[in-house]
Amino acid sequence: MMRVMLPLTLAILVLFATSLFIGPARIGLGDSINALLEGGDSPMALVMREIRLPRALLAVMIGASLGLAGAAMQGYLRNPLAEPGLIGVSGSAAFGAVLSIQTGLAAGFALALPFSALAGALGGVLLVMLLAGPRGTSLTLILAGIAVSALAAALTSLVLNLSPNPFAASEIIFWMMGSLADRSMTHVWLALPLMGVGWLLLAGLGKGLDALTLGEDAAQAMGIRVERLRLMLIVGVACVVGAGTAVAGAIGFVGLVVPHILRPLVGARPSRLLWASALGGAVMLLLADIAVRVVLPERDLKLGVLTALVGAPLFLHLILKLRRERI
Amino acid sequence: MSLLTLTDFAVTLRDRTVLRDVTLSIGKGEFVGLIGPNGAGKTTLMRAALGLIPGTGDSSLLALSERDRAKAVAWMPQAREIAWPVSVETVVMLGRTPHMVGMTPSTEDAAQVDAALAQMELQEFRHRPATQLSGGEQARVLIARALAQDTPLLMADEPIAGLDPAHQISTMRAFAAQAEQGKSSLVSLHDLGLAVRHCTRLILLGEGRMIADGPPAEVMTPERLAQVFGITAWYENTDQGPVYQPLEVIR
Repeated sequence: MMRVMLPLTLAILVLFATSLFIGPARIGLGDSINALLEGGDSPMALVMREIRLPRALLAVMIGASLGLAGAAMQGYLRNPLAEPGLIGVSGSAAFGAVLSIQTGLAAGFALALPFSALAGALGGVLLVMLLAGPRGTSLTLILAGIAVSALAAALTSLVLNLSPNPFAASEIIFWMMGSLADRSMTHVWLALPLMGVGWLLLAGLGKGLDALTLGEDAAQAMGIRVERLRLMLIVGVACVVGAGTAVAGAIGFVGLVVPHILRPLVGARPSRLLWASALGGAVMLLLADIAVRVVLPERDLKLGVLTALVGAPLFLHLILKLRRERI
Repeated sequence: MSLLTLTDFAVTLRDRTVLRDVTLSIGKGEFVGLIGPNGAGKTTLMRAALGLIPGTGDSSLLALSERDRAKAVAWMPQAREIAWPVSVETVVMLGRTPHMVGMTPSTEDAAQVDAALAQMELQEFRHRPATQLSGGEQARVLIARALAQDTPLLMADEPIAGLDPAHQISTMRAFAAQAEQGKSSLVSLHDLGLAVRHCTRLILLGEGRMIADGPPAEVMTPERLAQVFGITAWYENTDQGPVYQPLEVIR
């Protein structure tokens, strides 16, 4: 256990520090630490506190959220292809955000976009719960999630389709790629309470997810309240993914790939994978967010594009490995 | 003391009565075989008694909270699902879920797991990923998991299907050994020969009703076999115990 947790925690610390030192403004190592710790109103301090710190914090928070939610979804559905977006929350949050860009609401006041994304996420999760029913199985949850995702994607396309304003349309497309650039501490404070609730809900699922290894019937007969677990999962995933999408857009592949990579290292136990994936998700997103700034510093490479670019081949590699093992 | 009592128990699924008029009681130290043709309602009876599907009438288990129920009865479903490549030991330890407060196993938990692994002859597989074992070996792992739950009553749905003859017999012996310790099992079976030899009592289901309930020799009459299973059989109490061999299909 520790041999997985310790390196991941160390990696987070190192990458977090690295993330703070990377940016267009060239600030030396010692200066930036001074600026961060001592504060004051110097431009350097502002850059550190209002631009780089929130960026690094959000990378950790969102990465951990996606890793945790991915591990929980895979554990509940007993399927290594499950991911946090499966229940339709990220899609409906994106639709909420897109609507606020299109209507000009987002330009009206600063937090209109994240708030309308959260409203979209809430609408999406309520619809999923309504469709999946209180006593449904994992299959009804998947189907409900697919239905809501498809609906949200269709509505998003409709908005783009009918958009009379090409600037809004391109803004929408860029926003949907996902990014942590130019976020402020306000975004951190906005996302943190919701994410905190979601982390607590998901972190409590370990015992139930372990028991679900043997199927829903067996888990229920071992005293696990499967319906309650499912509700906690849906609400937990909705909180962390909704908040994450609201402040950073849709960032794919982290919740899918990270649990997959770490599973063999924790003996495949879903409860241990929850923690490991949370740490691993933070590592992956910090790395990706450092990479977008280092690889193409001038071009504002979007984070979601990079995670998909890295994630897809990684996933292919895992599939090939799996295929060799099966033969 | 009764470990399971069903009174006027019935199950209706999608407007179709799958099971009706079941009244039975299982006491301490019994190894009850639940027999009947495909579709007779064996699985339905056990799942409904456990509260996994809704039933009408009384089941003593449904009066308990989920947690207390998990300490009163262990359940091994027919679908032998092991979703992740976790070690055999981890799977068996899952049986201790209702007894564990946190996530750390106590010495009692470890002792129960050791005993269950030994009883199912699984010590050599202990650290192997359960998903890499053969189907029959996985079934034994899941039986060990149910044994580790250490409940007064164990219900298992076709636990010996797919096992080799030696492990079929040793598994039946394990259930019989439970009965000798004062615990009871309710186990659905298709191998009537093994049922007759090892069970202390048989419950025969047919077309959603309970047709007979009693000691094997009384339940397995030629008339009932013809009526319920549509087979003839050779049955004799030999000096090596009762031997039962199905012979011909008669319809």
